[in-house]
Amino acid sequence: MIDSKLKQEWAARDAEAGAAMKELLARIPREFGHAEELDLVFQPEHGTKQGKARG
Amino acid sequence: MTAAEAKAAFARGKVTASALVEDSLARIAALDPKLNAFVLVDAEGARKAAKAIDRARKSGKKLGPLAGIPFALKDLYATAGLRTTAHSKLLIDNVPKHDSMVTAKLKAAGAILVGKLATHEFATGGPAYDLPFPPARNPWNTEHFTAGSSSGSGAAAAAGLVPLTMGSDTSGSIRGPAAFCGIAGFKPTYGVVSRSGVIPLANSLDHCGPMCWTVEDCALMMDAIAGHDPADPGSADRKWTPVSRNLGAGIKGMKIAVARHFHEKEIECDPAIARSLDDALKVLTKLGAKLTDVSLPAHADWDACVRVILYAEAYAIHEHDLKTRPQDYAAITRARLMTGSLVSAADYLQALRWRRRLNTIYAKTLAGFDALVTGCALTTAPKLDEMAKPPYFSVRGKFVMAPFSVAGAPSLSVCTGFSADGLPHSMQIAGLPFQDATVLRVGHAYERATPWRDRRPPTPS
Repeated sequence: MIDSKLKQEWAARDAEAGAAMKELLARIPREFGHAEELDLVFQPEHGTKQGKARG
Repeated sequence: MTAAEAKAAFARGKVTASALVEDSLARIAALDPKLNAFVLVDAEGARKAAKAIDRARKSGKKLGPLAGIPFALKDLYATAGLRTTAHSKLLIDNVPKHDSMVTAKLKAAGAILVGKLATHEFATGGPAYDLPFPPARNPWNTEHFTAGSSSGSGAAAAAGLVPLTMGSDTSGSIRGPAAFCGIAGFKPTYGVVSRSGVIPLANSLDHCGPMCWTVEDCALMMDAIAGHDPADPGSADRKWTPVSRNLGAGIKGMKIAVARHFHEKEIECDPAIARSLDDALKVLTKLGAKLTDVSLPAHADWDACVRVILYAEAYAIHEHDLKTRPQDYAAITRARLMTGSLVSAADYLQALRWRRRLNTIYAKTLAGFDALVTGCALTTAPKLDEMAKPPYFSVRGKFVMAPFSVAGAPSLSVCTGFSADGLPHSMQIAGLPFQDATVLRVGHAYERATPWRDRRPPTPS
Protein backbone atom coordinates (compact mmCIF):
# COMPACT_ATOMS: atom_id res chain seq x y z
CA MET A 1 0.00 0.00 0.00
CA ILE A 2 1.47 3.33 -1.06
CA ASP A 3 0.38 6.24 1.13
CA SER A 4 -1.24 9.32 -0.38
CA LYS A 5 1.53 11.71 0.75
CA LEU A 6 4.08 9.66 -1.18
CA LYS A 7 1.79 9.56 -4.21
CA GLN A 8 1.50 13.37 -4.07
CA GLU A 9 5.28 13.75 -3.92
CA TRP A 10 5.65 11.36 -6.85
CA ALA A 11 3.15 13.33 -8.91
CA ALA A 12 5.00 16.61 -8.28
CA ARG A 13 8.38 15.12 -9.09
CA ASP A 14 7.07 13.26 -12.14
CA ALA A 15 5.65 16.48 -13.54
CA GLU A 16 8.96 18.30 -13.07
CA ALA A 17 11.10 15.46 -14.45
CA GLY A 18 8.68 14.87 -17.31
CA ALA A 19 8.83 18.53 -18.37
CA ALA A 20 12.63 18.37 -18.35
CA MET A 21 12.62 15.22 -20.50
CA LYS A 22 10.23 16.80 -23.02
CA GLU A 23 12.70 19.69 -23.42
CA LEU A 24 15.50 17.20 -24.10
CA LEU A 25 13.42 15.26 -26.62
CA ALA A 26 12.67 18.49 -28.47
CA ARG A 27 16.42 18.97 -29.12
CA ILE A 28 16.86 15.64 -30.94
CA PRO A 29 17.29 16.15 -34.69
CA ARG A 30 14.67 14.33 -36.77
CA GLU A 31 16.08 14.94 -40.25
CA PHE A 32 18.31 11.89 -40.54
CA GLY A 33 18.41 10.56 -44.07
CA HIS A 34 17.54 7.04 -45.21
CA ALA A 35 21.23 6.31 -45.72
CA GLU A 36 22.29 7.51 -42.29
CA GLU A 37 22.98 4.37 -40.38
CA LEU A 38 21.19 3.47 -37.18
CA ASP A 39 23.79 3.06 -34.48
CA LEU A 40 22.68 -0.47 -33.77
CA VAL A 41 25.01 -3.29 -34.57
CA PHE A 42 23.59 -6.75 -34.17
CA GLN A 43 26.37 -9.26 -33.73
CA PRO A 44 24.86 -12.63 -32.92
CA GLU A 45 27.38 -14.32 -30.64
CA HIS A 46 30.32 -12.45 -32.23
CA GLY A 47 31.83 -11.66 -28.84
CA THR A 48 30.80 -14.76 -26.97
CA LYS A 49 32.86 -17.83 -26.24
CA GLN A 50 30.27 -19.94 -28.05
CA GLY A 51 30.42 -17.78 -31.17
CA LYS A 52 34.19 -17.72 -31.23
CA ALA A 53 34.34 -21.48 -30.74
CA ARG A 54 32.09 -21.96 -33.79
CA GLY A 55 34.26 -19.61 -35.88
CA MET B 1 50.00 8.12 1.84
CA THR B 2 49.24 7.70 -1.87
CA ALA B 3 49.16 4.26 -3.47
CA ALA B 4 52.42 5.02 -5.30
CA GLU B 5 54.08 5.90 -1.98
CA ALA B 6 52.62 2.82 -0.29
CA LYS B 7 53.80 0.65 -3.18
CA ALA B 8 57.34 2.02 -2.91
CA ALA B 9 57.41 1.66 0.89
CA PHE B 10 56.08 -1.91 0.66
CA ALA B 11 58.64 -2.81 -1.99
CA ARG B 12 61.47 -1.52 0.25
CA GLY B 13 60.11 -3.48 3.21
CA LYS B 14 59.35 -0.29 5.14
CA VAL B 15 55.71 -1.19 5.65
CA THR B 16 53.59 -4.34 5.80
CA ALA B 17 50.21 -4.96 4.20
CA SER B 18 48.77 -5.35 7.71
CA ALA B 19 50.08 -1.92 8.71
CA LEU B 20 48.58 -0.33 5.59
CA VAL B 21 45.22 -1.97 6.27
CA GLU B 22 45.24 -0.99 9.97
CA ASP B 23 46.03 2.60 9.00
CA SER B 24 43.11 2.60 6.58
CA LEU B 25 40.71 1.02 9.11
CA ALA B 26 41.77 3.53 11.78
CA ARG B 27 41.13 6.48 9.44
CA ILE B 28 37.73 5.04 8.51
CA ALA B 29 36.81 4.57 12.20
CA ALA B 30 37.89 8.12 13.03
CA LEU B 31 36.56 10.05 10.03
CA ASP B 32 33.81 8.10 8.31
CA PRO B 33 31.10 8.71 10.93
CA LYS B 34 31.18 12.32 9.66
CA LEU B 35 31.66 11.50 5.97
CA ASN B 36 29.38 8.48 5.34
CA ALA B 37 31.66 7.39 2.52
CA PHE B 38 31.38 3.69 3.40
CA VAL B 39 28.20 1.61 3.38
CA LEU B 40 30.11 -1.51 4.47
CA VAL B 41 33.54 -2.04 6.02
CA ASP B 42 34.99 -5.55 5.86
CA ALA B 43 37.66 -5.20 8.55
CA GLU B 44 37.91 -8.93 9.14
CA GLY B 45 38.28 -9.77 5.45
CA ALA B 46 40.83 -6.99 4.93
CA ARG B 47 42.95 -8.10 7.90
CA LYS B 48 42.88 -11.71 6.69
CA ALA B 49 43.92 -10.71 3.16
CA ALA B 50 46.70 -8.47 4.51
CA LYS B 51 48.11 -11.30 6.64
CA ALA B 52 48.09 -13.57 3.59
CA ILE B 53 50.04 -10.96 1.59
CA ASP B 54 52.56 -10.49 4.40
CA ARG B 55 53.01 -14.27 4.73
CA ALA B 56 53.49 -14.59 0.98
CA ARG B 57 56.16 -11.88 1.01
CA LYS B 58 58.00 -13.57 3.89
CA SER B 59 58.02 -16.85 2.00
CA GLY B 60 59.51 -15.11 -1.06
CA LYS B 61 56.47 -15.47 -3.34
CA LYS B 62 56.12 -13.09 -6.28
CA LEU B 63 53.48 -10.50 -5.44
CA GLY B 64 51.19 -8.41 -7.63
CA PRO B 65 51.84 -4.75 -8.52
CA LEU B 66 49.36 -3.43 -5.95
CA ALA B 67 50.34 -5.84 -3.16
CA GLY B 68 49.10 -4.73 0.24
CA ILE B 69 47.41 -1.52 -0.90
CA PRO B 70 43.87 -1.01 0.44
CA PHE B 71 41.03 -0.28 -1.98
CA ALA B 72 37.30 0.28 -1.82
CA LEU B 73 34.56 -0.06 -4.44
CA LYS B 74 31.47 1.91 -5.28
CA ASP B 75 28.65 -0.35 -4.11
CA LEU B 76 27.76 -1.36 -7.67
CA TYR B 77 30.72 -3.73 -8.06
CA ALA B 78 29.92 -7.33 -7.19
CA THR B 79 31.99 -8.69 -4.33
CA ALA B 80 31.79 -12.42 -3.63
CA GLY B 81 30.23 -13.04 -0.22
CA LEU B 82 29.96 -9.32 0.51
CA ARG B 83 26.68 -7.38 0.25
CA THR B 84 26.33 -5.28 -2.93
CA THR B 85 23.34 -2.95 -2.75
CA ALA B 86 23.64 -0.12 -5.29
CA HIS B 87 22.68 1.95 -2.21
CA SER B 88 19.11 0.70 -2.62
CA LYS B 89 16.43 -1.03 -0.57
CA LEU B 90 15.79 -3.17 -3.64
CA LEU B 91 19.14 -4.94 -3.28
CA ILE B 92 19.62 -4.68 0.47
CA ASP B 93 19.98 -8.47 0.80
CA ASN B 94 22.00 -9.00 -2.39
CA VAL B 95 25.15 -11.00 -1.66
CA PRO B 96 26.86 -11.92 -4.95
CA LYS B 97 28.47 -15.31 -5.41
CA HIS B 98 31.20 -13.95 -7.68
CA ASP B 99 33.45 -10.91 -7.87
CA SER B 100 33.06 -8.42 -10.69
CA MET B 101 35.95 -8.54 -13.18
CA VAL B 102 37.40 -5.34 -11.69
CA THR B 103 37.15 -6.70 -8.13
CA ALA B 104 38.89 -9.90 -9.23
CA LYS B 105 41.64 -8.04 -11.10
CA LEU B 106 42.40 -5.73 -8.17
CA LYS B 107 42.54 -8.69 -5.79
CA ALA B 108 44.78 -10.56 -8.24
CA ALA B 109 47.10 -7.53 -8.28
CA GLY B 110 47.42 -7.91 -4.51
CA ALA B 111 45.24 -4.95 -3.50
CA ILE B 112 43.14 -5.45 -0.38
CA LEU B 113 39.40 -4.82 -0.36
CA VAL B 114 38.45 -2.79 2.71
CA GLY B 115 34.79 -2.09 1.94
CA LYS B 116 32.01 -0.75 -0.23
CA LEU B 117 31.31 2.89 -0.90
CA ALA B 118 28.22 5.07 -1.01
CA THR B 119 26.65 5.89 -4.36
CA HIS B 120 23.55 7.62 -5.52
CA GLU B 121 20.90 4.90 -5.73
CA PHE B 122 21.57 2.78 -8.86
CA ALA B 123 24.09 5.47 -9.87
CA THR B 124 21.35 8.02 -10.47
CA GLY B 125 19.09 8.85 -7.51
CA GLY B 126 20.68 11.17 -5.04
CA PRO B 127 21.53 12.74 -2.82
CA ALA B 128 18.56 11.49 -0.84
CA TYR B 129 17.60 10.73 2.74
CA ASP B 130 14.96 8.09 1.92
CA LEU B 131 17.57 5.40 1.25
CA PRO B 132 19.07 2.66 3.45
CA PHE B 133 22.26 4.68 3.94
CA PRO B 134 22.88 8.41 4.35
CA PRO B 135 24.47 10.44 1.54
CA ALA B 136 28.25 10.86 1.61
CA ARG B 137 29.58 14.26 2.68
CA ASN B 138 32.36 16.36 1.22
CA PRO B 139 35.59 16.08 3.27
CA TRP B 140 36.53 19.69 2.47
CA ASN B 141 33.38 20.82 4.30
CA THR B 142 30.94 18.20 5.52
CA GLU B 143 27.96 20.52 5.03
CA HIS B 144 28.65 20.35 1.31
CA PHE B 145 27.76 17.92 -1.46
CA THR B 146 30.26 15.44 -2.93
CA ALA B 147 28.49 15.33 -6.32
CA GLY B 148 27.56 11.90 -7.60
CA SER B 149 26.97 9.30 -8.30
CA SER B 150 30.36 7.99 -7.10
CA SER B 151 29.92 10.05 -3.93
CA GLY B 152 31.58 7.69 -1.46
CA SER B 153 34.54 7.14 -3.79
CA GLY B 154 35.16 10.90 -4.00
CA ALA B 155 34.86 11.38 -0.24
CA ALA B 156 37.00 8.33 0.65
CA ALA B 157 39.82 9.19 -1.75
CA ALA B 158 39.91 12.86 -0.71
CA ALA B 159 39.94 12.06 3.01
CA GLY B 160 42.62 9.39 2.52
CA LEU B 161 40.43 6.61 3.94
CA VAL B 162 41.86 4.33 1.25
CA PRO B 163 44.36 5.20 -1.48
CA LEU B 164 42.49 3.40 -4.26
CA THR B 165 38.79 3.61 -5.09
CA MET B 166 36.65 2.70 -8.07
CA GLY B 167 33.75 4.74 -9.37
CA SER B 168 31.53 4.45 -12.42
CA ASP B 169 30.60 7.12 -14.94
CA THR B 170 27.56 7.14 -17.21
CA SER B 171 27.19 10.89 -17.64
CA GLY B 172 29.77 12.36 -15.24
CA SER B 173 29.59 10.18 -12.12
CA ILE B 174 33.37 9.84 -11.76
CA ARG B 175 34.41 13.30 -12.92
CA GLY B 176 31.77 15.23 -10.94
CA PRO B 177 32.67 13.84 -7.50
CA ALA B 178 36.36 14.01 -8.37
CA ALA B 179 35.90 17.72 -9.14
CA PHE B 180 33.91 18.57 -6.01
CA CYS B 181 36.17 16.47 -3.75
CA GLY B 182 39.45 17.76 -5.24
CA ILE B 183 40.84 14.42 -6.41
CA ALA B 184 41.78 12.81 -9.72
CA GLY B 185 38.95 10.89 -11.38
CA PHE B 186 39.45 9.09 -14.68
CA LYS B 187 36.74 7.88 -17.02
CA PRO B 188 38.61 5.68 -19.50
CA THR B 189 37.60 5.09 -23.10
CA TYR B 190 34.35 3.12 -23.33
CA GLY B 191 35.16 -0.57 -23.35
CA VAL B 192 38.67 -0.36 -21.86
CA VAL B 193 37.60 -1.51 -18.38
CA SER B 194 35.17 -4.41 -18.06
CA ARG B 195 31.72 -3.73 -16.59
CA SER B 196 30.96 -7.41 -16.04
CA GLY B 197 29.61 -7.88 -12.54
CA VAL B 198 28.85 -4.16 -12.14
CA ILE B 199 25.20 -3.13 -11.67
CA PRO B 200 24.38 -1.14 -14.83
CA LEU B 201 22.69 2.21 -15.27
CA ALA B 202 22.76 2.48 -19.09
CA ASN B 203 24.68 -0.18 -20.95
CA SER B 204 25.82 1.84 -23.94
CA LEU B 205 27.16 4.65 -21.71
CA ASP B 206 28.47 2.97 -18.55
CA HIS B 207 32.20 3.24 -17.83
CA CYS B 208 34.21 1.93 -14.86
CA GLY B 209 37.18 3.98 -13.70
CA PRO B 210 39.52 4.88 -10.85
CA MET B 211 39.18 7.75 -8.38
CA CYS B 212 42.30 8.50 -6.33
CA TRP B 213 44.19 11.37 -4.75
CA THR B 214 46.61 11.55 -7.70
CA VAL B 215 46.67 10.84 -11.42
CA GLU B 216 49.64 8.58 -10.75
CA ASP B 217 47.46 6.36 -8.56
CA CYS B 218 44.73 6.33 -11.23
CA ALA B 219 47.36 5.11 -13.73
CA LEU B 220 48.46 2.35 -11.34
CA MET B 221 44.84 1.22 -11.03
CA MET B 222 44.30 1.35 -14.79
CA ASP B 223 47.26 -0.95 -15.37
CA ALA B 224 45.64 -3.46 -13.01
CA ILE B 225 42.06 -3.30 -14.29
CA ALA B 226 42.15 -2.51 -18.04
CA GLY B 227 41.92 -5.15 -20.74
CA HIS B 228 39.51 -7.14 -22.86
CA ASP B 229 36.79 -9.16 -21.19
CA PRO B 230 34.52 -11.32 -23.39
CA ALA B 231 31.93 -11.27 -20.60
CA ASP B 232 31.29 -7.54 -21.27
CA PRO B 233 29.67 -7.09 -24.69
CA GLY B 234 31.03 -3.51 -24.82
CA SER B 235 34.60 -4.53 -24.05
CA ALA B 236 37.19 -3.38 -26.58
CA ASP B 237 39.09 -6.29 -28.06
CA ARG B 238 42.56 -4.76 -27.80
CA LYS B 239 45.56 -5.06 -25.54
CA TRP B 240 46.14 -2.42 -22.86
CA THR B 241 49.64 -0.97 -22.93
CA PRO B 242 50.65 -0.14 -19.34
CA VAL B 243 50.58 3.61 -18.75
CA SER B 244 52.43 3.92 -15.42
CA ARG B 245 55.94 3.49 -16.80
CA ASN B 246 55.68 6.34 -19.31
CA LEU B 247 53.51 8.58 -17.17
CA GLY B 248 56.27 11.01 -16.33
CA ALA B 249 57.43 11.57 -19.92
CA GLY B 250 56.12 15.14 -19.87
CA ILE B 251 54.04 17.07 -22.38
CA LYS B 252 56.67 19.11 -24.22
CA GLY B 253 55.62 19.52 -27.85
CA MET B 254 52.09 18.16 -27.30
CA LYS B 255 49.26 19.79 -29.20
CA ILE B 256 46.40 20.47 -26.83
CA ALA B 257 42.99 21.73 -27.95
CA VAL B 258 41.01 24.00 -25.61
CA ALA B 259 37.20 24.22 -25.79
CA ARG B 260 36.51 27.47 -23.92
CA HIS B 261 33.03 28.06 -25.27
CA PHE B 262 31.41 25.66 -22.80
CA HIS B 263 32.43 27.71 -19.76
CA GLU B 264 32.83 31.13 -21.40
CA LYS B 265 29.64 31.28 -23.48
CA GLU B 266 27.23 28.45 -22.71
CA ILE B 267 27.26 27.53 -19.02
CA GLU B 268 27.48 30.08 -16.23
CA CYS B 269 30.90 29.70 -14.62
CA ASP B 270 32.08 30.92 -11.22
CA PRO B 271 34.59 33.70 -12.09
CA ALA B 272 37.16 32.27 -9.66
CA ILE B 273 36.94 28.89 -11.41
CA ALA B 274 37.36 30.59 -14.81
CA ARG B 275 40.51 32.27 -13.47
CA SER B 276 41.86 28.96 -12.13
CA LEU B 277 41.27 27.41 -15.57
CA ASP B 278 43.23 30.21 -17.24
CA ASP B 279 46.04 29.67 -14.74
CA ALA B 280 46.01 25.92 -15.44
CA LEU B 281 46.29 26.55 -19.19
CA LYS B 282 49.31 28.77 -18.53
CA VAL B 283 50.90 25.90 -16.61
CA LEU B 284 50.38 23.54 -19.58
CA THR B 285 51.95 26.13 -21.91
CA LYS B 286 54.89 26.52 -19.53
CA LEU B 287 55.35 22.75 -19.59
CA GLY B 288 55.83 22.95 -23.36
CA ALA B 289 52.39 22.19 -24.78
CA LYS B 290 51.02 24.16 -27.74
CA LEU B 291 47.43 25.25 -27.04
CA THR B 292 44.81 25.95 -29.72
CA ASP B 293 41.19 27.00 -29.21
CA VAL B 294 38.62 24.71 -30.83
CA SER B 295 34.85 24.66 -31.03
CA LEU B 296 32.59 21.65 -30.51
CA PRO B 297 28.78 21.36 -30.78
CA ALA B 298 26.85 23.15 -28.01
CA HIS B 299 26.96 21.48 -24.61
CA ALA B 300 23.16 21.40 -24.47
CA ASP B 301 23.17 19.12 -27.52
CA TRP B 302 25.60 16.65 -26.00
CA ASP B 303 23.62 16.76 -22.76
CA ALA B 304 20.26 16.10 -24.42
CA CYS B 305 21.76 13.25 -26.44
CA VAL B 306 23.27 11.53 -23.42
CA ARG B 307 20.25 11.94 -21.17
CA VAL B 308 17.74 10.61 -23.69
CA ILE B 309 19.88 7.52 -24.30
CA LEU B 310 20.66 7.12 -20.60
CA TYR B 311 17.10 7.24 -19.31
CA ALA B 312 15.70 5.10 -22.13
CA GLU B 313 18.23 2.38 -21.33
CA ALA B 314 17.88 2.80 -17.56
CA TYR B 315 14.09 2.54 -17.78
CA ALA B 316 14.39 -0.72 -19.68
CA ILE B 317 16.54 -2.11 -16.86
CA HIS B 318 14.24 -0.90 -14.07
CA GLU B 319 10.82 -1.21 -15.74
CA HIS B 320 9.74 -4.32 -13.86
CA ASP B 321 10.75 -3.02 -10.41
CA LEU B 322 9.29 0.43 -11.11
CA LYS B 323 5.95 -1.25 -11.80
CA THR B 324 5.98 -3.81 -9.02
CA ARG B 325 7.77 -2.11 -6.09
CA PRO B 326 8.00 1.63 -6.82
CA GLN B 327 7.88 2.53 -3.14
CA ASP B 328 11.26 0.83 -2.60
CA TYR B 329 13.08 3.45 -4.69
CA ALA B 330 14.01 6.86 -3.31
CA ALA B 331 11.57 9.45 -4.64
CA ILE B 332 14.30 11.16 -6.67
CA THR B 333 15.49 7.88 -8.24
CA ARG B 334 11.99 6.88 -9.17
CA ALA B 335 11.24 10.26 -10.75
CA ARG B 336 14.46 10.22 -12.78
CA LEU B 337 14.04 6.65 -13.96
CA MET B 338 10.39 7.21 -14.86
CA THR B 339 11.39 9.87 -17.38
CA GLY B 340 12.69 7.03 -19.51
CA SER B 341 9.08 5.90 -20.00
CA LEU B 342 8.49 9.11 -21.98
CA VAL B 343 11.14 8.19 -24.58
CA SER B 344 9.67 6.45 -27.62
CA ALA B 345 11.60 3.88 -29.64
CA ALA B 346 11.95 6.47 -32.43
CA ASP B 347 13.30 9.07 -29.95
CA TYR B 348 15.87 6.59 -28.69
CA LEU B 349 16.99 5.55 -32.16
CA GLN B 350 17.27 9.14 -33.37
CA ALA B 351 19.38 9.91 -30.28
CA LEU B 352 21.67 7.00 -31.19
CA ARG B 353 22.01 8.39 -34.74
CA TRP B 354 22.70 11.80 -33.25
CA ARG B 355 25.40 10.28 -31.06
CA ARG B 356 27.14 8.92 -34.16
CA ARG B 357 26.91 12.34 -35.84
CA LEU B 358 28.22 14.20 -32.77
CA ASN B 359 31.08 11.74 -32.42
CA THR B 360 32.10 12.23 -36.05
CA ILE B 361 32.39 15.97 -35.34
CA TYR B 362 34.34 15.24 -32.14
CA ALA B 363 36.81 13.03 -34.03
CA LYS B 364 37.28 15.57 -36.85
CA THR B 365 37.76 18.45 -34.41
CA LEU B 366 40.39 16.63 -32.37
CA ALA B 367 42.27 15.05 -35.27
CA GLY B 368 45.92 15.97 -34.94
CA PHE B 369 45.62 16.93 -31.26
CA ASP B 370 47.06 14.95 -28.36
CA ALA B 371 44.43 16.07 -25.88
CA LEU B 372 41.60 18.49 -25.17
CA VAL B 373 41.07 20.70 -22.11
CA THR B 374 37.71 22.01 -20.90
CA GLY B 375 36.20 23.22 -17.67
CA CYS B 376 34.88 20.46 -15.42
CA ALA B 377 32.72 21.62 -12.48
CA LEU B 378 31.86 25.26 -13.14
CA THR B 379 30.74 25.83 -9.57
CA THR B 380 32.13 24.69 -6.23
CA ALA B 381 30.21 22.09 -4.21
CA PRO B 382 26.86 23.45 -2.97
CA LYS B 383 25.46 22.63 0.47
CA LEU B 384 24.12 19.09 0.67
CA ASP B 385 20.78 20.15 2.13
CA GLU B 386 20.13 22.39 -0.87
CA MET B 387 20.46 19.26 -3.01
CA ALA B 388 18.60 16.70 -0.93
CA LYS B 389 15.53 18.61 0.18
CA PRO B 390 12.84 20.60 -1.68
CA PRO B 391 13.13 22.56 -3.93
CA TYR B 392 16.03 20.25 -4.89
CA PHE B 393 18.73 22.59 -6.19
CA SER B 394 20.50 20.80 -9.06
CA VAL B 395 24.11 21.06 -10.17
CA ARG B 396 23.31 19.14 -13.34
CA GLY B 397 23.75 22.19 -15.56
CA LYS B 398 27.02 23.23 -13.90
CA PHE B 399 29.28 20.51 -15.27
CA VAL B 400 31.00 19.96 -18.62
CA MET B 401 30.56 16.19 -18.76
CA ALA B 402 28.25 15.11 -21.54
CA PRO B 403 30.55 15.45 -24.61
CA PHE B 404 32.90 12.77 -23.31
CA SER B 405 30.09 10.48 -22.18
CA VAL B 406 28.54 10.64 -25.65
CA ALA B 407 31.94 10.20 -27.33
CA GLY B 408 32.98 7.34 -25.04
CA ALA B 409 36.21 9.31 -24.81
CA PRO B 410 38.81 9.24 -22.03
CA SER B 411 38.37 12.17 -19.65
CA LEU B 412 40.06 13.11 -16.44
CA SER B 413 39.15 15.58 -13.71
CA VAL B 414 42.06 17.14 -11.81
CA CYS B 415 42.18 19.70 -9.03
CA THR B 416 43.20 23.22 -10.08
CA GLY B 417 43.12 24.99 -6.72
CA PHE B 418 40.64 26.09 -4.09
CA SER B 419 37.98 28.74 -3.53
CA ALA B 420 38.34 31.34 -0.80
CA ASP B 421 36.23 29.08 1.45
CA GLY B 422 38.44 26.06 0.78
CA LEU B 423 36.40 24.11 -1.78
CA PRO B 424 38.18 22.51 -4.75
CA HIS B 425 38.27 23.82 -8.33
CA SER B 426 38.79 21.51 -11.29
CA MET B 427 39.70 21.12 -14.96
CA GLN B 428 38.97 18.32 -17.40
CA ILE B 429 41.51 16.74 -19.73
CA ALA B 430 40.10 14.55 -22.50
CA GLY B 431 41.14 12.94 -25.74
CA LEU B 432 40.03 10.81 -28.64
CA PRO B 433 38.97 7.25 -27.80
CA PHE B 434 42.02 5.16 -26.80
CA GLN B 435 44.17 8.23 -26.08
CA ASP B 436 43.92 7.22 -22.42
CA ALA B 437 47.68 7.17 -21.84
CA THR B 438 48.16 10.69 -23.20
CA VAL B 439 45.29 12.09 -21.15
CA LEU B 440 46.79 10.62 -17.97
CA ARG B 441 50.24 11.95 -18.93
CA VAL B 442 48.90 15.49 -19.27
CA GLY B 443 47.11 15.25 -15.93
CA HIS B 444 50.18 13.88 -14.19
CA ALA B 445 52.42 16.61 -15.63
CA TYR B 446 49.96 19.26 -14.45
CA GLU B 447 49.74 17.78 -10.94
CA ARG B 448 53.52 17.61 -10.66
CA ALA B 449 53.87 21.26 -11.69
CA THR B 450 51.30 22.62 -9.21
CA PRO B 451 51.00 22.58 -5.40
CA TRP B 452 47.40 21.30 -5.12
CA ARG B 453 48.35 17.74 -4.03
CA ASP B 454 50.13 19.12 -0.96
CA ARG B 455 46.87 20.16 0.69
CA ARG B 456 44.52 17.59 2.22
CA PRO B 457 40.99 18.20 3.58
CA PRO B 458 40.74 19.32 7.21
CA THR B 459 39.77 16.79 9.88
CA PRO B 460 35.97 16.96 10.04
CA SER B 461 34.64 18.39 13.30
